[in-house]
Amino acid sequence: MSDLSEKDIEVFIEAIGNYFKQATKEAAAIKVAYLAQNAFPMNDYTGKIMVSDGYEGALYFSAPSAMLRHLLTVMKETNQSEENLLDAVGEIANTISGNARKYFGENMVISIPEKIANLSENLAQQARSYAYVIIIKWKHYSASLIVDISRNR
Amino acid sequence: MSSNSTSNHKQQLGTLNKYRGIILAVTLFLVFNLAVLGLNFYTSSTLDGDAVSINLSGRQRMLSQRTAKVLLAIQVDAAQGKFDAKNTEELKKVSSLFDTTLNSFKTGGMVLGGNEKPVFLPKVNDAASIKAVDEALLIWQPYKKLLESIIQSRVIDEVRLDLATDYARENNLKLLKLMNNLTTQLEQNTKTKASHLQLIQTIALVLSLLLFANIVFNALRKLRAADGEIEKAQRETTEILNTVKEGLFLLDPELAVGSQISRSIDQILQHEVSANMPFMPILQQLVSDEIYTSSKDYIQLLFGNKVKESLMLSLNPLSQVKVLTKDDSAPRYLSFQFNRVVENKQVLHLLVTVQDVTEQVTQAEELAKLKGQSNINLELLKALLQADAFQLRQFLNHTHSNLAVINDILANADKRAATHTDMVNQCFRIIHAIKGESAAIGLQAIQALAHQFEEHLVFLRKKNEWDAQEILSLPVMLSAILEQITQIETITDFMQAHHQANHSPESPPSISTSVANNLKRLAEQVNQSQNKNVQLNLELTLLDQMDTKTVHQLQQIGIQLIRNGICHGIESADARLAKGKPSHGEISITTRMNQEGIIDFIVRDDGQGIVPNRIRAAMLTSGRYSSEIVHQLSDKEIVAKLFEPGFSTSNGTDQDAGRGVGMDLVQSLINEIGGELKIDTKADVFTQFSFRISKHAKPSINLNATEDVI
Repeated sequence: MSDLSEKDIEVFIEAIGNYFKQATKEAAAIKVAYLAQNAFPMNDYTGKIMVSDGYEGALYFSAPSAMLRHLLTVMKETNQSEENLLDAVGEIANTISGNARKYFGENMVISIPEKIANLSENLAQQARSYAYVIIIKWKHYSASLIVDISRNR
Repeated sequence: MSSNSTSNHKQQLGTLNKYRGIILAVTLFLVFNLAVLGLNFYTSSTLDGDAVSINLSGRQRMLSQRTAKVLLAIQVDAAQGKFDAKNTEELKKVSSLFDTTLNSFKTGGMVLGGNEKPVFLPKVNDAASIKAVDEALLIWQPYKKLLESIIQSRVIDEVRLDLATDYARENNLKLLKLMNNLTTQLEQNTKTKASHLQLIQTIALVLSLLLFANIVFNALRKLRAADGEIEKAQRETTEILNTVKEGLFLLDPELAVGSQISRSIDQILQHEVSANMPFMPILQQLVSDEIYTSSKDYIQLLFGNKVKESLMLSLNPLSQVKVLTKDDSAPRYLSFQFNRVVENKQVLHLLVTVQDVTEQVTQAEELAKLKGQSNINLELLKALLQADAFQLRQFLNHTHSNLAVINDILANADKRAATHTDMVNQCFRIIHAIKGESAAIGLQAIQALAHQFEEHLVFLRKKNEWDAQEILSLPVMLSAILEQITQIETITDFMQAHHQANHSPESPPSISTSVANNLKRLAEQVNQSQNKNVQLNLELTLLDQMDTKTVHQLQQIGIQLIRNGICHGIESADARLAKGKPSHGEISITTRMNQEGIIDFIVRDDGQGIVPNRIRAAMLTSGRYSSEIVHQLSDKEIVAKLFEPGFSTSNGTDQDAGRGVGMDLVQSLINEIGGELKIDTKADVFTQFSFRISKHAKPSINLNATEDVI
């Protein structure tokens, strides 16, 4: 089993940072990064993309509803229904997968994002015994990026 | 000269040395007997000469009487007016013979013997004989003249005849007596000589017998000793063959099994093997036809002597072979090794070593089956197989919880008031301890990862702001170590399960033994990388009475102080020799309990000591401290600097030292235990860290200690 490098992981963070910067002119930044086996810091809404082929596992971007509402407001979106909040988190996940495709190329097959509300803090399936937890701040909000991806060989 | 002839020569020399005593005794025996034989020849030739003397001396007696008798007969004839020329002729012959013989007794010379042949008569030597001969000559000389006048006269001169017969009557008996005395004396001389000879011969015989007995005794002793050695060697061979786990036997060029066979062979081959049994049919029952054919070629090639044995190793079709089992029992794997037994460049035999490698093969197969384990590092596997299971388990538990502490520090980084430097220092201590422990337990992969982690922390310590990649780098490095630890845990669990399934439970080594093994392994490793020769003396039995947490903390202190001792304390061999010290250094770690039951933990090295001015100089050279600061500090403050996080006087860093975290870690561990550290040191003599386990935690430093500090 081989691990992802910090450069690999940074691709996902950059995608989020850039998304916020383009959408709100204010970049989101990494504050803390650590490992977790369970009790992942899940927020109200989570976008999940799964990877396969050269890699296995999944990536989760999970944000609190207040952060997403603030984002929609800044983006001048007045409809802040749960569906729209899920769409917002899904779009961020989609941006991440787009960047990842560019970076990892054909080696990483990436699924269509799944949008989930109130995802359990313990994952049903886990590719890594220790997944990366990255706390990303935008304004005073904290979102979580959980990278549970391992490289096959 | 080939090595063969040299070895033959050596062998001959060895045999000569072995039998030197016997060869010497036999030579002495022969020389001695030859000498006695020579003496015998000499003496018997002397005795022959003596016999001639005795005979001729006896004849003188007879000649003196014949002379007188013939003289009287001539006188009787003359009185009757007769003259017999025969008598005169006999007188001439007899007196001449007497005269020659008597003179020869005096001076030595040739005379006519009893058989009318000339014989050499030696002159007499002893005083009594000389006296007899001299007295006889005195009587004989006038007698001879009187007789000559009768012999030479052509007519009978009665006056001369009367004078001669008168002289004869007067001296004949004296002459006879003197000749008698001479004979007796000569006989006596011979008798004495003969008895001397007898004595010498008796002594020679006794000595010769003694020598012979000595030779026989020595030879028997040597034979007995040689027999004893052969018996011992045979007994040892039998013991080895009965005990050794491997199947061992010799194969002759006819491919028959030799007479010495290890007991385990029957079980390994599952076939009865006895001396002179043909080997190939046994093999044929064990392996497939294809392997059998190639094995036959391989063995014949080995006997062929043309190809180097080392080149053929990889060709061995039996190096790991699955053997056919009679029933449906589990598959078995055997390993056959063949080694040439060469004498005088001829392959006499092949030494065959057979091992049952089923366990290793199945273990390797099962390991490979473990998910994701196909790339298991062989070095890691080797280290794990050699490591002490109990210590390994403890290390894994500690490391797991220590890495969890680092992860916790990372997770709470934004909530902490503390600075990045504090965070780095905290992580540093933990990683440094993991590095030390993994080195001690022999897990180089973890040691290398921890070292990388340390290097990264040093880099981060210098930066006030961390970018995304830098923040991410810490969990990535942590993950690498955790992955490794998880892999080790999986393998260890597997090995333990396998071991328990295959072996009866064994009691683990004592804690103190495990700690001692770890510390020795570490010292060996640091010795190698620092090119030093430091001997470790350990007395740690008290550790067996302590709880595992304290033992673990003390082991960590030991690890740091050994590392520091070898890197900084003990001088290079040249420097030590220049100071009049032995070239190798010594570090001793002792646990000692006093009467109150308080335990001291003492680490002492015979290195250069802690010298404040040297630390000052090193601080200035490192360029990290200003001259002002360095000179403001007192000696004790300078030494106390050693305990500050990040303090190092080393210009470079390597696996072992130079990060300036060792003493910081030692202090923090002592704080955890709640103890009292005392440093005693003397420049160029020693440094001693003694640590009393109590509730006091400030180091006390004595820079002018005497050597008998305990």
